[in-house]
Amino acid sequence: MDFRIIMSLLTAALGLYGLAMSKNIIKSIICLQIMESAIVLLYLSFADKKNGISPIHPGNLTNMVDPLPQALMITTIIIGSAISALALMISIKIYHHYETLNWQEIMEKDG
Amino acid sequence: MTQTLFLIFLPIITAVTIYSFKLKHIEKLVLIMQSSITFIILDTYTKIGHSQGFAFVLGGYSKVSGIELKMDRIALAFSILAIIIWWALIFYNYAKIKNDLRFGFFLIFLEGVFLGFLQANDFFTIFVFIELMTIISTILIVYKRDSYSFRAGFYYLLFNSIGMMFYLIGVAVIYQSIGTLNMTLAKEILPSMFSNPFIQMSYIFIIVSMGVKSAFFPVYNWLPKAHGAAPAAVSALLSGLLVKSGLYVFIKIGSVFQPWLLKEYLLYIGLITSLSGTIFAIAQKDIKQLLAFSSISQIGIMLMAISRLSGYGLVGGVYHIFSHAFAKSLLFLTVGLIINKTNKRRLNEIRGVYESSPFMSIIMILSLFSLIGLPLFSGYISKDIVKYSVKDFGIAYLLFSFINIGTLIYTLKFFQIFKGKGTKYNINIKTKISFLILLIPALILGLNPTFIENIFMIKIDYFFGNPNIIMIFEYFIFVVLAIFINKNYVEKEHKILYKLRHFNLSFENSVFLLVIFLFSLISFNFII
Repeated sequence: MDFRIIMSLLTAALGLYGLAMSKNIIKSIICLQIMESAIVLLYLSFADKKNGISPIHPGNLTNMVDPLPQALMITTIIIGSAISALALMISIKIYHHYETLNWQEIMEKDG
Repeated sequence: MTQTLFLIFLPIITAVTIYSFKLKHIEKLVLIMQSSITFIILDTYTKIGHSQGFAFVLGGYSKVSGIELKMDRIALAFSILAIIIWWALIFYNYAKIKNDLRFGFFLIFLEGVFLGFLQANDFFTIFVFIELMTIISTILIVYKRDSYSFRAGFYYLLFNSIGMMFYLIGVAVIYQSIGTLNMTLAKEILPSMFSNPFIQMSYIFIIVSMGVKSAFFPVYNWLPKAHGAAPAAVSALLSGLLVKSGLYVFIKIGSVFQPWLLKEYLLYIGLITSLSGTIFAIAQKDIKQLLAFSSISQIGIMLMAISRLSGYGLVGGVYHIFSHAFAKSLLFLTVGLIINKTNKRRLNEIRGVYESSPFMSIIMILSLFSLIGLPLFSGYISKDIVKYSVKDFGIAYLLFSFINIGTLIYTLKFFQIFKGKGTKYNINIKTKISFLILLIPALILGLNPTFIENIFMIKIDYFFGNPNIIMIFEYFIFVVLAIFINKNYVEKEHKILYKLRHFNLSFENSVFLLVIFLFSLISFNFII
């Protein structure tokens, strides 16, 4: 298997580990972003080939990499940014209401 | 057959119009839009005949790389269900849509997104629509802007996004293996590759993400929080439709993968989901939490049936989705009204609903009857088919009776709100219309399963014509047992109930359970 595929899966696992371990809301959002970046890397390394050129290159179309995963990943990045924007907005509101960003403390205050 | 495209774009264009041009008669515009998409869906229903559905690719690209929309028979059934529920929600929130532009915008936009999700026929478009649904429903969950709803909405958003990341990993492997994302093409290519462990892994990843979306056993912690915090109309929408989106993808992907090993495992996951949902529902004191856990228990029943993926299992699962959608939406809407009028949420504080509004109480009692599966109601037929489809699995068949008894117990708990004295509510005519919109199809489904028969082109043998004497006797025993347990343990506040009620999982532990769920599926597939 390609080195990059293994690396991207490991990064995704790292993001998941962070989500399962971190007590802070902001860190959770960051870990979600790490997972998403890992998946973008996974798609792009699946689409890549040796000495391939980018699909927007004019003229020579012989050794072009697959353009579809790149198009899909632009969409994924946009969705990810929308999600993190919304999550950060809500986390500000959570901080205003609970005066903490710790999952545990929020749960205790809620009762 | 490009007319189904209007089902997606008419609501979205209407939503953008009402938000950007602050028109005077927004609600009339919404009604015109809703009527036209109803007309389109009825037209599609008459045109579909005996065909498998219509498909077309957007923008003239090839089928391999383009975005394909497909209106097949199950998508049509779900679209009709969605449009009926949105009719009810529009009438229920008539004044709110008129006065609050943003709420109307998100509600109508979500309708277009959901109808688009039902028609999407490639793996990535499904992802895009599900993420859009997650974002919009998060905004609707936090709409009350109190501390609890912010927390519940945040939990919902983050947890569902993690689930969808798993989905993307699964889709990446599929794309790498077969070179297309189109489901119709994948159905032709994939069967020859089932022995490939990577294809099996991709299926497992997709199942995990759908488990998060549809609240399967270890990963349903987000559901009671979100349902409890959301406004009544949004709870009804979440419980009636959006939670089932995972099951819908499961049906769609199941027809692509035809999974051969996980079937039984998912049946038992459904069984555990159902049992634990029932037990937690019995322990609740908050009226909305009780309904939320009851939703989990019903989802388990649906999963049990749908995991058969063919024949009566699939029919029973879809039938149960329909009967549950109507009954639970009605209960959430009526309960929302009660909470709105009395400002009380605890079951032992709300009293005298029957005296306050006999009309609403009768509607609630009818939907509770459908929920417990009383003969002559839609829940009876659907649960009967589900029970028939799992009859080869001894434990599942046996525990199904326990689920029925548990459902009866929490329904009995629910019945206490009708007793006692209460002040009169005045319910306006539009709210009454919204209840009737949901009640009439539910009653029709209970007496006459023609609609589901048409969708699946199958004949359903239900026992309405000749009620079996043994079944009535069995039902009678269940009721007696439920009353006995309710009197002796539930009403006396057994200390296990207290512990169950205060059981709470933190976010990190839920993610940890998600990982365990993933590894359990992997180990079941590759080791056992």
